[in-house]
Amino acid sequence: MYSRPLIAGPIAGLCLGNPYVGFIAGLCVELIWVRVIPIGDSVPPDSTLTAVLASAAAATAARNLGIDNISAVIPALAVSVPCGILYKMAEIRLRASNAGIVDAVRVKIIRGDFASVDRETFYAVIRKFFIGAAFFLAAYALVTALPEGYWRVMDITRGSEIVMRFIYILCFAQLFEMFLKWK
Amino acid sequence: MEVEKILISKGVLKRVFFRSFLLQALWNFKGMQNAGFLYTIKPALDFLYPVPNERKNAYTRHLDFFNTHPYYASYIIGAVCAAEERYAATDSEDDLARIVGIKKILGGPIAAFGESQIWGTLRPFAAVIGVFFIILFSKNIALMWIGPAAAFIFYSSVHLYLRYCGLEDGYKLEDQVFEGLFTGKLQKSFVYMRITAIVMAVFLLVRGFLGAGPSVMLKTAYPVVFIIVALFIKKVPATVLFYAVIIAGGIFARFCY
Repeated sequence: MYSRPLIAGPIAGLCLGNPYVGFIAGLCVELIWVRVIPIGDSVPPDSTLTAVLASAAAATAARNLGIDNISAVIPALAVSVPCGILYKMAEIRLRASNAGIVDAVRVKIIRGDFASVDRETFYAVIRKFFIGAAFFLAAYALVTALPEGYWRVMDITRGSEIVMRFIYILCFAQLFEMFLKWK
Repeated sequence: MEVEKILISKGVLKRVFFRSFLLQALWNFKGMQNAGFLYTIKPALDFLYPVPNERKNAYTRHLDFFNTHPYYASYIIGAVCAAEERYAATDSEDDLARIVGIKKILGGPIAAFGESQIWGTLRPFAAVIGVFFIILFSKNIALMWIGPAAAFIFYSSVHLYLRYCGLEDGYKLEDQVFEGLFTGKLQKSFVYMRITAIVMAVFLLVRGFLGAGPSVMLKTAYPVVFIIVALFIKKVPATVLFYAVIIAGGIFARFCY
């Protein structure tokens, strides 16, 4: 549960000294994708990576460029959501490659190597951690390297509060859709 | 004639419990949770089959296709532990068929049940609790931490309860454990969760409307946006809708000032 965006976002924000952006980013990511659930073999977009990336990027932009928190969160969310979807594709590849590993484990067990399943499970956890970390660092480097004009996009509209309000409406509508049957 | 069973000790079950957290580590499209299931149940198999040949058969038996909900899987793991215990004692074909049967027959229904209850109700409900406190205390950053903390404690307590008691009950009652699972108290509490979540969402929506400021344009935009979003929410993917809302909000804000 600590991997849900609602909790991971604020923690990432706290690490960068600005938990407030973490709260907003975590809340939005959690509720925008509240209806996307892993049923059967479907792999949902990685909401944790999205929330952590959005919080980290927003906190960095708010500190370095001196923009206010809400104006920093909206562009950060807009650029993090595609990263979450990209990571989903990487994860599908990873899961497909696991099939070969399990076949190798089966052969090893038939040959009498009983510890192979423990070893491969351990490696799978380590592998996933490093792939996720590498992806996050690369995405963070790219996102923070975006030109200053991108982060100041909310200055054009001068109404980041209104845009945030609209995003909240979308979030609550997603909740209604989740819990209420419209029929 | 009753055959004397070698009982799986509490320590072994505890190790199975801790291993069940890595059930999906080697998730793959071919056998899904097969390697994870073997990894979870390994201490019990090692305990029951000390002879390498028997152990090899047991291991390969559990590498067959298996997929279910990761939390409710504990019930199946417990039931399979008990069935393996009996098979190790009797060595009869019926008991072997029972082990395979529990996994094959119950995997699907338990997955469907768990996905609608846990992914569809419990997890969003925990999110609503968290969001509710975050928005309620949005003036004070220190108090905002109550939101994530409440969501974490609520969700984790149910999750760990399901995992631990599922294993214990599954081991004790074997396949009879599933008779009471789909009806009864648990089912009722999920209905209450839905109702509470809707009440909380209505509260958040009304609070947002009242806090929209004195501008008449903003006040009218609030319900209009909600109705438009509600109309499109079924047909349009969540991500597309998110970008549409950002762009529409940006244009509206520019127009408003």
